[in-house]
Amino acid sequence: MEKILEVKDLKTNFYTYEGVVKALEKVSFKIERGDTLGLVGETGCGKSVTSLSIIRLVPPPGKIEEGEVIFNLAKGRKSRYINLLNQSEAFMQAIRGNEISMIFQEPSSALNPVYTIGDQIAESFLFHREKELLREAIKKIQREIDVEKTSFLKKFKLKTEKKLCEIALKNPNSPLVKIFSFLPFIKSKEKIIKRIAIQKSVNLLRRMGIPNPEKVVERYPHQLSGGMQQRVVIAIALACHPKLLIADEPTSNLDVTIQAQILDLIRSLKEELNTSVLFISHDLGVVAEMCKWIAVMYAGNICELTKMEELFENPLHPYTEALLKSIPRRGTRKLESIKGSVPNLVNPPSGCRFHPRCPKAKEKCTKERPEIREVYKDHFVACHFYKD
Amino acid sequence: MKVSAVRKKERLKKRLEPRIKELKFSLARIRKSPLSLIGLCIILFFVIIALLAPVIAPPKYPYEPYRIPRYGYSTTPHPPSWEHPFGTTEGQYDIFYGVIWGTRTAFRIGFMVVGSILVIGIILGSFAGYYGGIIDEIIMRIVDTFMSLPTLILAMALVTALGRSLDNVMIALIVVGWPAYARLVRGEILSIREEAYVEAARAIGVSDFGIIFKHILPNAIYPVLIMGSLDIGAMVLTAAALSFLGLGAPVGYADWGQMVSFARNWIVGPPGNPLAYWHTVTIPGIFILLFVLGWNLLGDAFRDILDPKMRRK
Amino acid sequence: MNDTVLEIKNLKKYYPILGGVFKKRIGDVKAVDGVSLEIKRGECLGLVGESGCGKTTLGKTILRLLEPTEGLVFFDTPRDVREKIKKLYLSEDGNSPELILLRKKYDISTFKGKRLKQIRKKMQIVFQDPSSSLNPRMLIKDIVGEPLKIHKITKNVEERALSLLKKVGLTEDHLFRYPHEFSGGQRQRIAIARALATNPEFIVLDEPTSALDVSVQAQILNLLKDLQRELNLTYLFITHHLMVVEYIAKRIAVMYLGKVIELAPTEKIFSETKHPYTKALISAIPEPEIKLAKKRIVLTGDVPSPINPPSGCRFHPRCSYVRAVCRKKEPSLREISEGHFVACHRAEEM
Repeated sequence: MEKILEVKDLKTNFYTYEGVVKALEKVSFKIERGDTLGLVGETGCGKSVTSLSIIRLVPPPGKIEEGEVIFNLAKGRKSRYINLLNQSEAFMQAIRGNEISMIFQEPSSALNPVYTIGDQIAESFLFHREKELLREAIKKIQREIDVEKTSFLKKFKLKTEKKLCEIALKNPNSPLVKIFSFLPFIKSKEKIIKRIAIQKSVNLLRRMGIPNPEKVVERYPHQLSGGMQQRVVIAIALACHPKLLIADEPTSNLDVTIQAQILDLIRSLKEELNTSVLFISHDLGVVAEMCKWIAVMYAGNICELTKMEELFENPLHPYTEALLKSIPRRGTRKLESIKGSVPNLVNPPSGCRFHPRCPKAKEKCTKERPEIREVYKDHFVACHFYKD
Repeated sequence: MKVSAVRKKERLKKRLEPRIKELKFSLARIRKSPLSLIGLCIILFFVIIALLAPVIAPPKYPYEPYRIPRYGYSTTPHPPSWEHPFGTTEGQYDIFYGVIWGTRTAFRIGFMVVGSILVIGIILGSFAGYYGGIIDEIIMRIVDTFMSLPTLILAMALVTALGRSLDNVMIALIVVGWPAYARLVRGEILSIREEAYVEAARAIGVSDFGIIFKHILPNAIYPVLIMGSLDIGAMVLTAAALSFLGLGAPVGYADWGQMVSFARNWIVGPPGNPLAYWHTVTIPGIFILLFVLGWNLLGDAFRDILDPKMRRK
Repeated sequence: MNDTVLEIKNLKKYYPILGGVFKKRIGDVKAVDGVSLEIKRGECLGLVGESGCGKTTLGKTILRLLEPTEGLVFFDTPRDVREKIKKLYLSEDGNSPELILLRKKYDISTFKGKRLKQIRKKMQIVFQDPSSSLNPRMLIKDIVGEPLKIHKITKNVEERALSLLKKVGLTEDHLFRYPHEFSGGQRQRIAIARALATNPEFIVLDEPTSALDVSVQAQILNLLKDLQRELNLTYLFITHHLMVVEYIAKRIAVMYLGKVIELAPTEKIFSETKHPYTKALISAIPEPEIKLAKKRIVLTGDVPSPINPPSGCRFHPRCSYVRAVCRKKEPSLREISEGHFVACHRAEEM
């Protein structure tokens, strides 16, 4: 199975007023084509920063210091690995929304309140798939020309529009396109492809399970419920069939029943489009439902990475064990909490960052940072004294 | 006995410690922004001048220090010289004396007007914002009425009706200025009123007054203070404008607007030497400009420092 | 010592919708639409439901943070008095003077002024978001000490504040600090300490751990359990998280669109679920355990708005067990087994 994403030794710092926050110390993991990896951890562990670092949207004063983010820009069978950290911003813009998409926690703030739903989904098509839209437009206009028998004027109009699209397809910067757009009665290129894009948006909404998509396309975000908004966000993210979907706590703000719907949707779309998913959450239950692999993060490091079943049956890292014991489940008699609190990352603990709170900590843990190693097949741990 | 005194001192230190920490944080932020430092320096400069006015420009009339001394009766202004460092203006009023003591007047106008409209605005805005309903409607309609009248014209009308004096100018400015503050305070209160800690205070059983004054206002006050500091400059400018039009301070009163008013006929000199009397306009003008600029910069600095969202960045 | 600390009867909270030019009342948002519950001393009653079901509104209305539109609220009132008032309330259309007098004396939904302030000492609340429930400009000592000063409980405010902080696991040098210097979990502890200041008998906990991390949640839940045992407190624990409520509550009430649709001891809610909505809620919980073939009930559609609740049973548009009667007649909450109440026409068949 080929890799779609590999993160190697990622290190990200934030240069704030209070000091340098060492948000990510040395994060490494990989995702294979079609797999889902769940990134679990509590507040401040660095899961969101990891996802933002991958697509290079770390807000200032953040800065990616070291590491590599290798992404597979395969076309068809042939793999093509590129380090995203070395690319230009223009390259990244072509990647975002197109090859790698991201959805966030709060759907109402991910959607622009002054644009209709249709406009927002269409934006994705218009930015990344203009050529495809033009081709479709040409076909559609051709069909209309064939149907149109009576009016000569209409035929002329359609023929001109078709010519316009053909020119735009061959040479996007052609001045002729602009001139044509100024002529009255002839629809400008923008309007033509926008029409097509909106039609595609309607189809996409239908696939998302949204009833009456033709009406929804003209509505504004505030007229939809939270669950519907999140579906729209997912629609925008998946519009261009990205290879990797990064979902940063997409259901944390939704009700449990709506969450179930959304998770089902993501699962079915993943199957259909063979998209890989990096699913970030603080809820181990949600991650367990969605993901084949789970990585547990603490204070900027990955402590444990393994298959989902293996993590629950055989957790090796003390943090994972403690985390599992602190989640209320059916029939829990006693919840165990982890003593202490999440460290301040301006002055993180030396050696292993978990040692102040670890029941198994020994002197080695204060001095030497444990590297993540494969201790059993497909089971990686970063601990000197993991459970044996 | 000694133990309790020591403990009391300890407790006092403990109480002040967090506030001192916050203060240090704010000061550090001021230090980082050069414009705020400039604003602070300008205002400090004016404060020093105002405090040392009797020393720098000793009054000629001991019981009327604000009366600018005249050195003659000729109308033509004289350029700066050793006896009159900034020269004299029409009627031989000493410009140096006028601008030095005018600093005091400026501070007086600024603080008194802004102070009063803060108090009025806060009281009325708090009631309107907290209680809502009919009280809110009444107060806001009054505010709307006042705000629909042009400020300068209203001020002029009031001064003309009440008579020409600096106090009346201040009254006019207060009457014209409070509505904006009432509205601002009301807006802040409307948003803070819904915060969880206000609800928590109500759950404890705090009275309405207690909630307004102990919980809401301390959190609502910062935008108002920022607007106030910006307005100090604006008020002085408006007062100067009114004085320039002859509606402000009486003739010969040490006030910057007055000084510019004297220079009305001397803005352009005789043909061939148009800038002959530059000192009459420019010098008071520079003082006004620097004063307003200083408060604007300081107001901006306050906003950057005190805005809780920007604070921790 | 009264056995029942709190009883509410037919409590309603409507928000009027004003429309038209003259802002006339054209409808109501029926946030809480007739809820009756009884909570015994020392008990923890869990109140679950999704957003918009009215659970938070119910908690706040009981505490008079919101004004009830209708209904009776009894706090620590003897049983016979309650029965009498309830009988009068349900029988009359108008208000007999006897009823009004009795209500003035016992029904806390009518209390005003000083009496209301007195009763507030006995019932307190802990809010969901610890960052916004503490005044950012007040020192912790003042936040925790404020209830003591308001009710003139003690002269030595600082000492008492310190002992309260110690009870929730904080120390002396936390007294002279501002809220923003603390983590979420610590802030919630401070909020709990503040709630305990007046020695209340009843505390409403409005999603107290929803904004906290999992490990911190465990700490706070254990703390709440310990405090309940130690101080014989009565809790109304509001949450949307079914696993949390299973851990901490003895009885659970499930709300949907302003009404309680199922009420039962915790065990029975999970093992003998009767209402279809409760079934869907339970099956929607993401389970870390691998189930071989998990049959999940996924509800279609969104939660309808409380402005125009569906006719008959409010849940019928999303219910997979719907019958004709469900569209016409609204089911009442009835007892189908010991201590187990359901509002469903087909409860016996479930």
